[in-house]
Amino acid sequence: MIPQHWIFRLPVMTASLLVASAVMSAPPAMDGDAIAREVYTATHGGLVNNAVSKRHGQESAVIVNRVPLAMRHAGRRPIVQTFDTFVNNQPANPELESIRLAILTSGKAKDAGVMLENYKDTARSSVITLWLPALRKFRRISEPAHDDVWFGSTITYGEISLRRPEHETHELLGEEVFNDCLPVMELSDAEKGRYTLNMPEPQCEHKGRPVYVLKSTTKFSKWWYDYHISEIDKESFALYRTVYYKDGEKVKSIFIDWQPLDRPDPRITYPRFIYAVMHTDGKDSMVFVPRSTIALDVDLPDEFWTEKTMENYGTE
Amino acid sequence: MSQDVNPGGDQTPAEKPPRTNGRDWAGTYARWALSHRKLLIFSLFAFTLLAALFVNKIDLRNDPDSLLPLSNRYISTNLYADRHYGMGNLMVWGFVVKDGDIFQPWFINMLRDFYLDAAKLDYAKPVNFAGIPSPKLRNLGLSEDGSLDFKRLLPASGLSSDPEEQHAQIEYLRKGLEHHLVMEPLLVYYRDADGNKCNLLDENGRMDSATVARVQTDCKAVGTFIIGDFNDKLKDAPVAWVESAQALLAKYQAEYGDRVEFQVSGEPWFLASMVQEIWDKAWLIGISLLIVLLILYHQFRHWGAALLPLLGVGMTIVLTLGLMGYTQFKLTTMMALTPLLLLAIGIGHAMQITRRFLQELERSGNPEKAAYESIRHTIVPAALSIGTDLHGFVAISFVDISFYKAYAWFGIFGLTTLILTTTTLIPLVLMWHPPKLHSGAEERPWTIHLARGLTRLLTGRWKWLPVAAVLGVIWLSAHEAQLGRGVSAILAGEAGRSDPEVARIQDEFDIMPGAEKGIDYPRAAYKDHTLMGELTGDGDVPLISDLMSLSEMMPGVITANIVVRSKAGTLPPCGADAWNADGDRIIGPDRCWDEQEDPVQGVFNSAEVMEALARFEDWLRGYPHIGFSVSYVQFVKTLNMMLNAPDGEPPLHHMELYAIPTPEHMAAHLANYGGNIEDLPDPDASVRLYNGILSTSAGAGELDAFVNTASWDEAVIVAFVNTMDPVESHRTIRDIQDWLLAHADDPGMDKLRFGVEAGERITASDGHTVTVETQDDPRPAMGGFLGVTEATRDVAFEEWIHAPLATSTTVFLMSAIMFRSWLAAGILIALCFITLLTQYGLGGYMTAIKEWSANLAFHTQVALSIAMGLGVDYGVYMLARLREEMCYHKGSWKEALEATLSSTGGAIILAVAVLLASFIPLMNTQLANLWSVSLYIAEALVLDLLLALLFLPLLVEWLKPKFVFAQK
Repeated sequence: MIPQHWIFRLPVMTASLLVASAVMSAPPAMDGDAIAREVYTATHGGLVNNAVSKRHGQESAVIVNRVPLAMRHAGRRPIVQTFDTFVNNQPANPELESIRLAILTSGKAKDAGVMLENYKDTARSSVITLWLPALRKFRRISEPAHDDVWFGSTITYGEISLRRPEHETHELLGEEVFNDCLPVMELSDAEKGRYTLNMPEPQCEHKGRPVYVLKSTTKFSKWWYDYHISEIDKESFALYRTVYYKDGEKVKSIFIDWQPLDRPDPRITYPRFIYAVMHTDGKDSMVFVPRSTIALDVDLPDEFWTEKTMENYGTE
Repeated sequence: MSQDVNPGGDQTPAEKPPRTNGRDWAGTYARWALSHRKLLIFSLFAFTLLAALFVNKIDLRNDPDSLLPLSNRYISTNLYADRHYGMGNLMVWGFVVKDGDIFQPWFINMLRDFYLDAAKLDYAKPVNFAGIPSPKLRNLGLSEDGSLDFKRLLPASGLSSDPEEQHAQIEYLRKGLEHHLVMEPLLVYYRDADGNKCNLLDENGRMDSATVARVQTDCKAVGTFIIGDFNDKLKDAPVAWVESAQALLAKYQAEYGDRVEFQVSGEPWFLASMVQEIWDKAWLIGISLLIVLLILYHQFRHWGAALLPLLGVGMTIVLTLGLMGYTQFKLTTMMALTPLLLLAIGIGHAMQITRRFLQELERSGNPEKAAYESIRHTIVPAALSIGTDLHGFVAISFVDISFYKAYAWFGIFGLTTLILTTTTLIPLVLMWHPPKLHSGAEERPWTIHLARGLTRLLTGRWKWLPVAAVLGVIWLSAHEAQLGRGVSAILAGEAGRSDPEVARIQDEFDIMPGAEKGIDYPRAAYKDHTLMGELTGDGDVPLISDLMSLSEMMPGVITANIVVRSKAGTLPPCGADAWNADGDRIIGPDRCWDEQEDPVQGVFNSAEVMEALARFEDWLRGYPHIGFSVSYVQFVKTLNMMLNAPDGEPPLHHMELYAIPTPEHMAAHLANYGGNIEDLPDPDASVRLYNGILSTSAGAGELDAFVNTASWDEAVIVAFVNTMDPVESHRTIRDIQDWLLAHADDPGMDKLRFGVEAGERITASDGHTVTVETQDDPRPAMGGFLGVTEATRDVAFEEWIHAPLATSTTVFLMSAIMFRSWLAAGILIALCFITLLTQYGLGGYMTAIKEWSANLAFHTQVALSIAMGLGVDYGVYMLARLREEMCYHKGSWKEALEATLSSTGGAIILAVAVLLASFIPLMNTQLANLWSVSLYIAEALVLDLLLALLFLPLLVEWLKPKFVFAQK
């Protein structure tokens, strides 16, 4: 009954998925704040000049969103969107920290593009530019809010990009060994389609990894969560599992399968899949980036990260 | 009713028990009952106890969908829309500040807290909630750097505690709301200095910069609303849910009641409150029982004899309620009538048998003989009486309305058990513990005096007085029901059809157009004030006063859900088997559709179709009784405006772009679409892009309330209707249907169909299948409360005269068989028709004064048949007694009449007194349906009483049926 305006909660942060993770050597006796900073650096920084995820043959990076369980009747299919992403961690503009480009490659919004320019000055908002192929025009939109959902998923912009360590207080609860498999979205045959035929299986290879257990409490009042508990690889600072709590109840869990990229520098990893599920209603999302789609330090000029690329992408 | 109308004792001629073919069936039954009395008594008590265990399992609920035939196309469409799109159980909370405007920090914080608390209520569907704190309410403007800005108008964390930041947040909210095309008319209530509502839409339903500016200049935003949606499981536990909703409201009223006026309404609130009201007012039954007890004591002058009828009838009630619980039949609050009708009818039977036992005991002094004789003399008339009582119930059992059937089946069961629990059980128990002998069986002096006076009236020159009164009642009833206008319209034939009202009367055979058959659901559910309330202070019923208040403040509080589908349909989505292990397609696009790769399908990707729907919605918004509408089309229009407004300029300064990007629209606003008429964007590609943006950026399932994002081939338009008047509601739905039919061949519209169609069987997204019976009517059906209202009207027009006529036919035939006299049956049925006409007249009067709690809608129509079945008893027993008295008094009419009036007449008056006492609980809750049904039944039975006492004797004297006058 009620019109709703998510209109521009577009995949502006899509490219941020493909951020090379810097595997750092863990200094001894780290406290919670230090671990949080390391995690932020690992997931937001980059040890590569640029990174690309581009459709390769039949494989493509894909995001899959399912409706809450109560709405998931027989025959209800998930919403699927494929995309290519291009990250430039060394832009020519000295004010910029990075430029990220994402192009939707299937469905009704095919060839729509999003360019995100992040400034080194954290006080400055990001600039987001949309390419609208059917209208043949660009539009700039303002930076989304922390709790806006990313790409119609169960993941927020805060989790993907906007939240910084200083937005939370951090407490190291202890050090443990990670002993679980990372779950994935399990689709029935009726839910599968062209890009969801070969989704990954649950990932168990992280079992036995030593992890920090970090409790992070939000400083925002009346926020959608009170705190989250994260299990963080002691060596790579990869976040394997994050569980959010509100009023003592689990509200959301996020699982990330960090994988090496077979680079000489073993610190460079990427999130092979991210699975996020709401405990309140069962709504879940899965982002899957096949290894075959990824290329690092590609020979692309700085001019590649411009509006012109988006404009011409579909016609190449 | 048979109360004591069968004469008892040796002073009457009815001592001989009825025989059939020479066999004394009644005596046989009486002997059998006495010889098996222990088994009978034990069994009855055992079954009653067993039934009592199931009473608390009664599934009492209120659901218009389950009241009406599911095969009705309006109900099917409503059910399909509910199941497919949700929004079937909407709640509205209204908040009006008493001082200042809504942009005060404390108010915004309160609103946010309330929103979050309401979304936590059981069965809530937060994704469909709307209100200022909703995450869906976003800015449609520009940020400081000129970028398009879509942030939440109210931060998720609420207002900051820093005063400066708080002020900035409120200003952001104020400006965002003031420019929100879609939500502002629905969520903000503006009032001018004189207290009048300010409308954001002009009289044509359009909102533009001028209308918005006028409101924002001259008026103040003093109120806002939260709209909540709840799932159907709520109907399984309505009382617990409504208690939690009431507790929530009470909590905020306690804290903010001095600063905020709270209002609440909505279908689940209404329906659940009705169930709660039944339990809350159950104590009124105690008053009823007390009055009945006093009447019984007056009759028998013995407390034991007064209590036993209550015990017997109580057992029947428990047995019936237990059966209701055991069968888990979905019952409505209207079923509260059943136990009280059983009380009223059963007490009559119980009085008859008790009195007869006392008479026999006084005569013989032998309790066993008294029990035998009383059963023997009473069982046949009791069975016959119950037989006539059942007529009304049997007639309505064939009506395809669940609560009619519930009335019928449980009524038939309950009435049938009375033979055991009263006529049989009471003498058996009295036999064990006989009361002391006294004069409880004698006629009361008042009945003797009454009979004497009435006999003088009916045999003297004043006998024309009752005739004149009857003629007056007939004229008045016909006048109120506008029988003359109806008959004239029918007789006008084809020539008169140029007048739409004449055509309607002919089409619907509405020969009594003065009695409105449509329904105003809220008023049919609740009275607007109560007598008990008036006596104890404020008599207003808050549910109605809040609804009225909200309906004035909001664009409309009931909805019309218009389901839109393509005529062509779509291919099914491809399953996993459409690709091989290498990812190659092996089932082609001719057989299944791959959303990612195949050309788009679904009619909602067509600009032409979207434009056609936009035109329809523009018309809807301009219609006087449609306050507002929402649909997926509004999303697309908004997105078009946002994306095509010039860079750096607020989109809402370009409301001309709030449109579907058709070639004509783009040509008219060339500068916004590239500036080259030869190279305009492709309209369909633009719409597809908007669909793509909306579906990928919305949370999964968030668009489901508006459009089917799986097929893009169907959607729903929700119109808010600002009237609940049944006449205006019907006019509204007819005008919408006429518009759709008139534009069925327009470009875009020719690809669409509306509502679930006749003969169709479709499955909603939750797997629920709805089927529509074949109806020869091309008018498109629609759902929402407007659709349910129209369905109810459909049903009412099928039954308003059909069911009473069916009842009268069976009554006539049974009377003719019983009396073996067509003339006697004719007299009885004539009296029935007079009563029926007065009921139609009552409906006409209620229509004339717009008392929509008691017009002739389907909830009151059930009373017509029941009242006829019950009321004919009075005539039956008057005739039977006249026949016996004529025989006893050797053909002396005057003596026979006086004796009849003294015995049967007095008994009838007591019966009516018991019945009216039984109706006390029904008349004094806030529930209008119980009040109106009891009003119609009471009116009919009082009139039946008067006709039986004052008019029937005259007809008998003048027409001299052999049944009465041929006796020797």
